[in-house]
Amino acid sequence: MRTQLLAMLCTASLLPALAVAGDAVLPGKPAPDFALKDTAGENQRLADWRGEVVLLSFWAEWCGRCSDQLDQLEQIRKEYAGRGVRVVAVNIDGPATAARAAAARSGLTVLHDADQAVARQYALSNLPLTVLVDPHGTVRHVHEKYRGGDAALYDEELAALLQE
Amino acid sequence: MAMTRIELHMATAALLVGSLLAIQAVHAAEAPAVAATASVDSEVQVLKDEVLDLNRELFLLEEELLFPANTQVAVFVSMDVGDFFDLDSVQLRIDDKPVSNYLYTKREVKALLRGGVHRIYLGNLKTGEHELTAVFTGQGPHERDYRRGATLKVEKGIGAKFVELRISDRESKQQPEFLVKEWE
Repeated sequence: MRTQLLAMLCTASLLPALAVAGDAVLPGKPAPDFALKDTAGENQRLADWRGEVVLLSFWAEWCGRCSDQLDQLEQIRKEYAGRGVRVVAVNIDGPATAARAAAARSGLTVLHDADQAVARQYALSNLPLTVLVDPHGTVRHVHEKYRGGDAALYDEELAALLQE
Repeated sequence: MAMTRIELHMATAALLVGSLLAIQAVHAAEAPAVAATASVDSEVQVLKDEVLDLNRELFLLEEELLFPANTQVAVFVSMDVGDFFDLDSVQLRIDDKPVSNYLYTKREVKALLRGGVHRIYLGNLKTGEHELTAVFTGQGPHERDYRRGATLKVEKGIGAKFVELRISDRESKQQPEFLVKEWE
């Protein structure tokens, strides 16, 4: 419990620093490319998913809203299976335990950003950070934090992107 | 001088795009016959090709400006065979400063094995001696984790410098081999 609290404080205290590290991710701009390991140890690169709509979400174990969002993301993944949508959850905790557990209980593509280098690229300042990337690799929507009802908004935005 | 050329190219590109749109607008308004449509299509195609050519030139000019030949250093990664090594990442340091850390996906490794060459770094270095260190990680024979470094001292002269990081198999030792060499 103490370790978890310490980890939470450490990561939370890093968030403002992460925010100043990179340029804010803005709709209409290309999504910064990155490569990270998934929970099976395979390297995955964002650019390899060109042609698909990518719903990218940055999360951490200590963030309560993040776990609510992960459940909703899993629903979205199931709903859009086989329709050219990839739901990717990027875990920013130091140890990979939470990332592995999330991958085990869902079908989400879970990547692990242990040194938070990608979080810095995406100027992460609030969790969860959700970025919708279109099939051309352009950022289309950015959402910070998570409120009940946001999943319906993601759903709406995904449907609109798929119709383009 | 180079900036003027870029501006000139950008102005020409803008002019071409403008003409392209104007042609499309005029022809759309006239409800053209089939033959005329074909002719407009080919004109539009020619203009599109010219815009692409200009873009390419612009890209080269930009690269010339950012990385002038007298300071330019480019480092490439290539792979040959790869039976004894499954590449995961390459970390590159120049004069003990990390300049690139690249994770390779399965797709990228496949491309390298098919003869592709990946430019892992493009930057500027002053003339003189520099030390370049590459650390390769992946899986070696019998799927064991493998990490190996290779170092090269390069003498940066007036011209551009190209360095290749080559991963190949040494059949006799049943081991991978990592070479860092300069392109002449």
